[in-house]
Amino acid sequence: MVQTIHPASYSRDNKGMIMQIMNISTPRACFSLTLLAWAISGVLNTAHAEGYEIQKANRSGVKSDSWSCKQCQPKTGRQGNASATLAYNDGEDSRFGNRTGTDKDGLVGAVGADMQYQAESGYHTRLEADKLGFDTGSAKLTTGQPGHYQIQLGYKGLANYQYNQLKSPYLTDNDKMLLPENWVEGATTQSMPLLQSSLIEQDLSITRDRFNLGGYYAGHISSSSRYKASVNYQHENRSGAKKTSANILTNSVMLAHPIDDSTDEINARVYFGGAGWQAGINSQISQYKNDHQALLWQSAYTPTFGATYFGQNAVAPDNKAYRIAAEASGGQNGHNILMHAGISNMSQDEAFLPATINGPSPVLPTGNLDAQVDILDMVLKYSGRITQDLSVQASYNYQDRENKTAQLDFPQVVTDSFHQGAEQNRLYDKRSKQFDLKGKYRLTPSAYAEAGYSRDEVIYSELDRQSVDESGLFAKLSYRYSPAWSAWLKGETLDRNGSEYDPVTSTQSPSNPWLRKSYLADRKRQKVTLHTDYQSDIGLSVGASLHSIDDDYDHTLVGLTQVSYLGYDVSAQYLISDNLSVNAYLNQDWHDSDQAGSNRFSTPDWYSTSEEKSTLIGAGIAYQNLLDNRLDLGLDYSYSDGQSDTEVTYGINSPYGDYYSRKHNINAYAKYKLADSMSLRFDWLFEKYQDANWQNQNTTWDTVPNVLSFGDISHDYNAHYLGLTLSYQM
Amino acid sequence: MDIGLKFKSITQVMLALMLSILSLSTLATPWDDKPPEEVVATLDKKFAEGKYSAKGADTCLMCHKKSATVMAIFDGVHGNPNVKDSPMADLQCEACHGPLGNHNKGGKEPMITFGQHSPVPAQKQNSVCMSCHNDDQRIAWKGNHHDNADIPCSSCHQVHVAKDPISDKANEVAICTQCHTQQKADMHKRSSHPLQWQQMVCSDCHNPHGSLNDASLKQMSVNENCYSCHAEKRGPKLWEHAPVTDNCANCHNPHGSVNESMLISKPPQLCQQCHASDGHSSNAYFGNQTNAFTSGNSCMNCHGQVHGSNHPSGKLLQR
Repeated sequence: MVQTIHPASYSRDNKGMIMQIMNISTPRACFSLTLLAWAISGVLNTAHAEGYEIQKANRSGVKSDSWSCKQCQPKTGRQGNASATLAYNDGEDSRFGNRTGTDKDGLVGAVGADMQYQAESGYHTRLEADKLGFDTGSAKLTTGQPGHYQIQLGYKGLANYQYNQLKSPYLTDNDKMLLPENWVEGATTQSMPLLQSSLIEQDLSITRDRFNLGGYYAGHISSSSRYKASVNYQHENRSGAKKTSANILTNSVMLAHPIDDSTDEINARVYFGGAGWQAGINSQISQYKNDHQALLWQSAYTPTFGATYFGQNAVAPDNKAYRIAAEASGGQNGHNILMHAGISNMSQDEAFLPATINGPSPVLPTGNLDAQVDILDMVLKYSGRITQDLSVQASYNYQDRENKTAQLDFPQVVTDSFHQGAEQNRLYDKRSKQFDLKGKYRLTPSAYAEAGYSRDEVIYSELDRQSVDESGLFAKLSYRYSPAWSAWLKGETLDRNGSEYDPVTSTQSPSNPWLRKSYLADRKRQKVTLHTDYQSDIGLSVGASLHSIDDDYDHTLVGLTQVSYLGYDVSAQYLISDNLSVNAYLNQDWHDSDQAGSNRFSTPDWYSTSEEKSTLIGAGIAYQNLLDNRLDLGLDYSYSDGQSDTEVTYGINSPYGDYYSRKHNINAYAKYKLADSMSLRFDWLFEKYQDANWQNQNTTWDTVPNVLSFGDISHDYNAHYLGLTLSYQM
Repeated sequence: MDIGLKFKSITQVMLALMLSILSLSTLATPWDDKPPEEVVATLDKKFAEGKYSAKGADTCLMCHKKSATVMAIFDGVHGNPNVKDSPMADLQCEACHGPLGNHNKGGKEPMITFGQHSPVPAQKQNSVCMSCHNDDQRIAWKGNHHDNADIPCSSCHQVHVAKDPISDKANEVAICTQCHTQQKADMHKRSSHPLQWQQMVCSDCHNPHGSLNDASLKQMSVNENCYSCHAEKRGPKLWEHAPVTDNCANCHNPHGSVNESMLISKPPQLCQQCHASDGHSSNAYFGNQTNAFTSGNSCMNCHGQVHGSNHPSGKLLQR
């Protein structure tokens, strides 16, 4: 939906034409900006963008009849390599599988390939495979005439291994999570007699199998214009389990929630283009299907009242989305305009679960939600080289998210236990308008200055603030001392404010009036970045950066009040010879945040600080062509350390416990050429990992009387992967 | 140490580093000793005059055949005259390096060269590549972050090879993080998207050639980008969680965090940045307590459907 918006705040601004433009209703604004942009490009038609485009080549003197290219030696026929890997993988802690690509313990095998067939006609076929046999394996077959048409068939596996050593008394049975048949409930976790004896291992990992089939066809409409049409279909299966919780009243259990779902997606695009212009349409259809309809779980606790032995949670509903967009870009003489308009729709009509499974469920106002969200987006961008030294960019982004779902009264049976009247679903709409203007001026051939202004206006519905606006200014100075050495400094200031903060009243739990929700609150942000790098042709490159961000939530008494970030990094690479290179890097950052709260539902009376620190350090060496060009060696080491210290002050200081992760990684390899077409590679991957989290450190399943947890789920392992790969070079 | 003091000391170290490397210098081509503007003026003149060689690539290879790097152009599509629209099917070497002019008389007359060391401005270098690669994936190239930062295409891509190294996922992340160092640090943290070992690559979410939003995301907004892989969170659900609907980045840093689940802060404090109604959400929770607010899944022990719920009784995101 597009509406004419005239927020009062706009009229209070007096920033000239920019604000006047933004005052116009959205489609008209875009149209006006389009006209303005075309006008700019029409007026500023001096040629300031001389490049070396092949279309502009002066071919008057070319005598291509005698260009036989006798010495051109394009490679034709088959070439490439195929490999087979046999490895020992330590899968005792599955988290190591994120490094190796498999969580299997013991011997594992995989194959790989990078083969291509090149015909004299230009026809090209390529087969690439990597770690095929591991959960993170991939394969891709591409065939066709590059630049003319191509078909692609692919597979890609993804895996996220979290825990394989945690335990819980729950068994998964399709949509149900049940306790042993002889389970005896308890009022607290400590009074569940069969808890310890019922614990079974749970695996928290999610794997994805992604298949795709696609291709494109490109051709010429005329000597100066062309087209390209492409389509891609992707099917993805996801399976595994993730950590979640469910509760009845104030009694909670942690569960390994089963995941089995799939997503299908089709992308289709057709674009036309010529010298200096492009236009096209792209579209996307996506459908998500969940194999689970609900999460029915058995309570481990003695019912507080009634017979609430089971609870039922909703799972992600099946849903669909489509999108279609059109865009065009064009220009000349260094001026370019890009226009884009798109509409998206997200919908779902999954049948509702009953309001409760304990006793008769109240009648629902509808059998399914028939939820609909429409998104309209429009973009207009101008970039132009006004003079040889001055370039200007302006852009206007508009996005309108409208939730068109019906608003109905839904009976609330809280945690399948007690009726708490009816509540109406909220429809969160969001309309954003973003305007950017920036200019870049080349001071000398080796230095330029850049400055810009941005304004982002967001209008919300049903939130504590009706509108949030952010204005920003930035300046950047870049200097290249020599072809090898450069440095730049950028500073940016952003000021976020908005309409009067007015906490929503349509809730049974109104917010503290002094609270300013962090994502809606006034905020002053200062950002500074300094970067320098040196790259020589003697093989040495050095880079260093410094980043700083300060957020001051200056009108917040309760909530997030201050965030400070500081980080730096230094890296160096040195190509000592064609065969020997070394590298090293160091990154460190600190992220501190302060917030305040109130136990009295009034002004602040407690405060908390969180101090995060992260360090990454690493070094590597690669030595090739040893032993008469037969041996390649490589060694990489990295260490990362992240920690977070939280402290709450409420009369007394109360520091939280440990929260850290420490990881050492070694990646070493030796590749030996057995014959001209055969090589053997040995890989050693090592990971030493340890983490802690005060949320579960030193706890057991029954430490908290009303939380049946997974206990202490920290990791502490040393794991190795030893692999042998035999490669055949064609 | 206070962050202000850290800032000062780190800045001093960086300035010292910058000064120390000023003394280094380089030479790569015979015309490196000429002022860059003089080189560019010569190239402009040569391009306008269009004095191409008599025999195309054969002329160039009379001298450059000994270079393995030069000859590697024939390993890939750019050097295959049989591939339609390839440079070798048109003006051959001079399609990219410009007209020969008098370069073959001693080799000192400049040709168009590529890379960060080249005296040719990035915008002019890239105009060569964009002559052919002006397709729908690069429709927003002009004015995008990399264009604006004067990054030549050759900073990331190579054409004198059988296969552009950046097309290998193991190389892509390494190349991007040479400049995007904050993201390099983030992806090594306790929780992150699986970039460190290249299950994912940067271009799964970003279009490095420019897009229609600030961070060069492939979709129009942060949330739509996330839904590409997390369609289960797309909904729309009956009970939405407002900051989730607004922007996934309100709570998550997709590049990585020292906190679990890529959260920008830890619960219960994260939740208390927005929730302070009278009762349990307002209370101070001490660190030495093990209770339902600080243990297990913290606030999510009861409000587990933090990404929204489609249960009729799920207003409190408990079902």
